[in-house]
Amino acid sequence: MDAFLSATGHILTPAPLFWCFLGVALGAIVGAIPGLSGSMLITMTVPLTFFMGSYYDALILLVAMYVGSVSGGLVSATLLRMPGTPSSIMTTLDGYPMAQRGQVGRALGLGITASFVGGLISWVFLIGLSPTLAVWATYFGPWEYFTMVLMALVLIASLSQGSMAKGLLAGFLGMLASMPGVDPSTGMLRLTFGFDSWAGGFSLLPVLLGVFVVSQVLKYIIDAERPVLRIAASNEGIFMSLADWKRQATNLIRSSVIGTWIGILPGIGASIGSICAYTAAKNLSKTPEKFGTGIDDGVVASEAANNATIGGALVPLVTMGIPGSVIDAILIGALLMHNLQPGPLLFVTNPEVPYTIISTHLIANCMMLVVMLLSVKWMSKLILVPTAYLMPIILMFCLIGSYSLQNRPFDVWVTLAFGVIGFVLEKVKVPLAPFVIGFILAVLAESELRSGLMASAGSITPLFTRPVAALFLTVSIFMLVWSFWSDSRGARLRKRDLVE
Amino acid sequence: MKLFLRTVAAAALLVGGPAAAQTYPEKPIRLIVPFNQGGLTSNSARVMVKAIEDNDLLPVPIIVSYIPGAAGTIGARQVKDSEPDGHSALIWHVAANGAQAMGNVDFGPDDFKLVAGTDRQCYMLVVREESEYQTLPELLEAAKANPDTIISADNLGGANHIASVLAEDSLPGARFRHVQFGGTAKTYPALLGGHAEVNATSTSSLSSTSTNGLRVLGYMGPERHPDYPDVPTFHELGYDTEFCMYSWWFMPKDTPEDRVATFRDAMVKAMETDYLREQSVVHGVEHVILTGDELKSAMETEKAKISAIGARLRGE
Repeated sequence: MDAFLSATGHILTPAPLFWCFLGVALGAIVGAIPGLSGSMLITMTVPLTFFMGSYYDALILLVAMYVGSVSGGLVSATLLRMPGTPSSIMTTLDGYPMAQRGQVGRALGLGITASFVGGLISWVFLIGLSPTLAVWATYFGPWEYFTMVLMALVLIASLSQGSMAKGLLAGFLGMLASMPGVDPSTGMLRLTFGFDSWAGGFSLLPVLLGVFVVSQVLKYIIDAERPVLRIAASNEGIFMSLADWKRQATNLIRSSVIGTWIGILPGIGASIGSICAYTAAKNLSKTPEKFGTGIDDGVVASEAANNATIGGALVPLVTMGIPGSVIDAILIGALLMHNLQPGPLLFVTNPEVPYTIISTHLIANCMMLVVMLLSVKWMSKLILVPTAYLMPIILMFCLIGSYSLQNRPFDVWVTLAFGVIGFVLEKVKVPLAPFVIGFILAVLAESELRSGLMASAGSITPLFTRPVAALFLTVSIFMLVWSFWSDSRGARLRKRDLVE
Repeated sequence: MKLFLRTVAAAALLVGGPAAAQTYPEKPIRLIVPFNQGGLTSNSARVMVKAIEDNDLLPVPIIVSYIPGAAGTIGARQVKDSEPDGHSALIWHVAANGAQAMGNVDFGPDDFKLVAGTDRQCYMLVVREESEYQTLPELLEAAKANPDTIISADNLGGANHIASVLAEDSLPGARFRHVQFGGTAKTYPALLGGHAEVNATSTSSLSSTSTNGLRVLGYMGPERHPDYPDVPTFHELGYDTEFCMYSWWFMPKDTPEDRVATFRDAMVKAMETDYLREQSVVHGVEHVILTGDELKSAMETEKAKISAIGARLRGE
């Protein structure tokens, strides 16, 4: 506790506070720009931190950037339907329609506040229950991972907005696109068609940038003649009302807990946290049909969960010295280079270090709330910038971003190719979200299932005998049947309306 | 300021390059790390570069580029096909032999000029603390009595898989059930959660988890590791098994020998700095740099082991 107080005391002095502010602000800006991601910013910053006086300040800067970057993505997701970071894919579904209706301030306000609450709740878990949670998380084996991902995959069936067949088609196409490269279970190459450049598969960032961003740029170029709808952007409703808080309380807590938990599990990122929380919110909602049309609950679930994954991902970092996310792996590398060995012993040898991480997480979260709420006024102006100015800039960042991911031109071609795919899909009214969800989840589901099958020598009994896996499986089946049923009922109702 | 000066110097060198064509290095050297930032290889690269630059051991900066994917083969291929003028270098590890042995790529260490080997780290066989297996012979005998039942958490085709296969090979007839989990971030929780029984791990990965909740059964190095004085080596227990891993530093195959030597000398001098000595301790690796015959024989040993295993795994 002393170490925590002294670490917090240190952060609350001018210089560290400045680093924290700088980190949050830079993170949020980079997060909001499609193409530039938090891990890029942090990768570039790590070598610079050697020029900083103390490694505490370096840590503060890096953790603040982490918090800022996950939060910033909601801005472009809401205003432009372009997720600034992969973690805000789900925010595009409801944030964008809401902004299109003119409720720009409200959409951003909800997202920012939910981000803050998500961060706060995950922080409570981080400081209070880290050791316990880290042990619980080890209970999750391949079967639990597989069925958990399966639950999120089922969401595809209910995300199709109208035609379920098209939603499923998009999902399967996304899964197909994730197959080439290294077989996740054996390390052998597959479906590379003899191209050496395909050996690494298609990375998430170029695919995401292509499908969501380049496709919109193309659409704009081709549809440029059409008059652009002018939205009367209103900044009202930035702050959640008491009634909002009451309505969203359960959703906020549930989504934050889901996000925290998924953050703790290694190898599962913030985007999956947000997909799972959205699935839960939609399936437990009394009005699931309103999801995807600009409902508060959708924005809140997505943003609370993706920020909660940060606190969650820090749990295995501080307790076990293993990374819960890509950015955590970079943080571990930074600690090592500053001569600090991460892991449980850090609490004994340098307790200020883990507590600096923990307090920075809290303070950066509060700072994020203030900085972002205060800048909504300027952010929302983005929507008024003529598209002709905006699109070339965004396209440029996308191409730079995809190139710098692995420093090779191949990813730029991937981005452009998926831009065309995304554009064509939109043209034939196939939804994009299921495509990306299928892309993200398929490899994970596949590798976990195959690990489970290797461990059980080919038997699927653990699916039914391991309680958590059995529970997840039941929920998935229930959700699947239910979405088919409500889809066919919806079709019947529409038919009857037509007849009458 | 220092960074600025260095950038100016680099720019000046770039401009003045052609005039002094015979000098090496004449422009910044690009070091490719074929893995993601944050792992051991990327850290080895970064600290080496920092030591070389801070002590002005080379007149030009070294630019580190990350080109991850497919066990490092994507970045490695780029270096293989680069201009062999001494301005591109690669850091790789056992995957250099592994990828070729598994048949994933048609090139290997022989298609490069080997500059040096650093950061030796040998593997250990670990189980969780509550495991019924107290000693290595107990575990191996059990794996022989009931082959293909004891689950080994591996990254199939990767170093921990190779080490685990070598460990079971120490007792003829012993077989683990090799299951894909991944790197330390996945195998460590898998052991703690009881999803797997045994795992082969490097000393550098182990130092990050501080053996919390784990029991080390045997060390695959030539003699006991100073940080784990109570852990017997495989040799002591009567098994003829050894598996250590190095960071291999490569340049394109046709790079002139004098240029390779210039780069190698800078590395050797960097290794003598206190900074790198400290870093080796923090990373849990042995502070060595192999050159000359030592380097050749270490590479030959690794290649022989890996290609034998690769042939067996592919045949299965």
